[in-house]
Amino acid sequence: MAAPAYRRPLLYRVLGNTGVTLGGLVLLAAVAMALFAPWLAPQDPYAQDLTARVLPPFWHDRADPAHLLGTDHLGRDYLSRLIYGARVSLAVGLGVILVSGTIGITLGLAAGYFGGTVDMIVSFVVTTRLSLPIVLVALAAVALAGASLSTLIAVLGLLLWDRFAVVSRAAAQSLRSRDFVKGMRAIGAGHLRILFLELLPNMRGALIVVMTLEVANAILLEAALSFLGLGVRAPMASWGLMIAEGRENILFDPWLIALPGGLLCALVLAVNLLGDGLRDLTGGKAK
Amino acid sequence: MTGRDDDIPALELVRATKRYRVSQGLFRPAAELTALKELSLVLRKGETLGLVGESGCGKSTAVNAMLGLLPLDGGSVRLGGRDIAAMGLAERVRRVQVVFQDPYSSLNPARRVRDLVAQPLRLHRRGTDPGPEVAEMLERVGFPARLAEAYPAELSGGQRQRVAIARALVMRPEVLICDEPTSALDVSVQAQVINLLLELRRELGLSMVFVSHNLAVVEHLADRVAVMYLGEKVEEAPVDALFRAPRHPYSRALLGATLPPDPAAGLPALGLGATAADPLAAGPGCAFAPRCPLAAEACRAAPVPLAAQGAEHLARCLRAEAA
Repeated sequence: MAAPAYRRPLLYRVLGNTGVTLGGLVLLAAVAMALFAPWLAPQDPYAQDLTARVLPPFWHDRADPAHLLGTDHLGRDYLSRLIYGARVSLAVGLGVILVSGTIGITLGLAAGYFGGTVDMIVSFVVTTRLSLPIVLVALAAVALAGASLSTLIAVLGLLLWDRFAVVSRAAAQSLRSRDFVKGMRAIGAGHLRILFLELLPNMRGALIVVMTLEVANAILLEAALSFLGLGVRAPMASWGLMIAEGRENILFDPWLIALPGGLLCALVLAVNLLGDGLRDLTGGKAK
Repeated sequence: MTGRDDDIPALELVRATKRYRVSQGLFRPAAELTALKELSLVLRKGETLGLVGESGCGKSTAVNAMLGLLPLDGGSVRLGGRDIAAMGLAERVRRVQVVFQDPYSSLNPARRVRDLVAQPLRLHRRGTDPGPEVAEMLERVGFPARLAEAYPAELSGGQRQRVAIARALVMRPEVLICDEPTSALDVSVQAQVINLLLELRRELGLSMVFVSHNLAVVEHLADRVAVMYLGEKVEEAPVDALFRAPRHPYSRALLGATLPPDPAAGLPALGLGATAADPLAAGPGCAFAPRCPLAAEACRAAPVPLAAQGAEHLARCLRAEAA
């Protein structure tokens, strides 16, 4: 490939960006944890042992070497549960942006590109959506449909598309007046091709940022809903649910909350760092 | 070379009319703006037609109509004798293509050069490898092959315009519409692009419509020139006749509006007054009358027809002789 010499190879640019490197590594670790949970987890995350309840982690005097990060109030191995919990967080993050991204980007592109009546309708739908309080609606919907991972993903996906729509609408509006759109019409391209193959690639930078924001948002909302008992159902391990289960022990065994809370925090931070860095990397080229 | 086929114009506008509704604010009725007023143009095979006029005179609307991208309110656009509205997509694309003014906006920044040029072929000739044709066309427009994998953002204005020209010509169209293809470029590059267009016109036997307000370029390139004012053709003549003896006062003002090289000479006086063209304030008579230094009562009273002023020379002016 005869790339101009002044564009450094992708790998160098990625490694030169601390945010992408750091965020990417943490995210990669989380993904590995989720994918290989059955092999990584030292114990069965669902096996209860009421004789070994609320054991402390390894740095503690009373620690049991069989339970590296202790056990919860039902005597289940905490490390194993944390590893399995990564599955829920990532599945929610990924599933939600797949649903919300598809809805939001389609609506936003159409509104920005066609304008007029289409824009009016989409803007009305966006305004309607923005007037709904997410947590309340999610609570009601989950209560009606019954708590499960797939319900949660569907509900959050149907609620979190507004930023995708707003950003892609603005981008499509600024791009549609460019001559290359007319040029594509002149060579006989249809609207759908122009929208998804010509306009969409020019929005990568902005959409990647929205995507990471929404992944982080979805992960946090899952934790919040699980904490309220409306997310994934026990005994499934979710970091939000673990925080909820640990809250009775917060005074004497704070690690029950600190561990899943810390992981949640690290994952969300990593996703945000990655998005920020990726925006910097792709931004220059799409100018 | 005087077969019957050569008598059919490559491109023809027949009384093309386009109106837009323009909102005047919430409580006032929408006004109607006539962007093209029964515009008739003929582009003969192998000929270059210059289309000049100030901003807002309907040049861009005319270009869109010639590309078949604009549903007309009246009249028709014909390519090789066939109505463009009744033409299949593939045929339209093979007959007419366009080069835009601003190569910074006419090339998708997310695509590589090779991709941009191959796109028309990919759309209309699926299954065949566009590679050789793309390479040949890039060479023809003088674009360095080693930059074929570059993105538009990495190219200079002149290089980008070469890519735009290669993209327009890769389908081998009969008609090339150039919408101010040099006005966004540095002066030093303008000449290169114009020479390239001249060369390609000769090699490929192109018929060209050259839209511009750079009269020097039009004089250099065009065989005939049509002058537009507020959607109407006000004068049409062979290039020599128009530049030597313009008959319409608006053409005269356009020709007089070139800046003199001597800065001390000041701005040229045009005799047009301070008003700009207002497409919404149309009276019954000549559209140019409000700004015309020669306007008489008769000019404002009734529409002025195009009248012959000499061989192939038309002007829409009652007082063409008065000048």
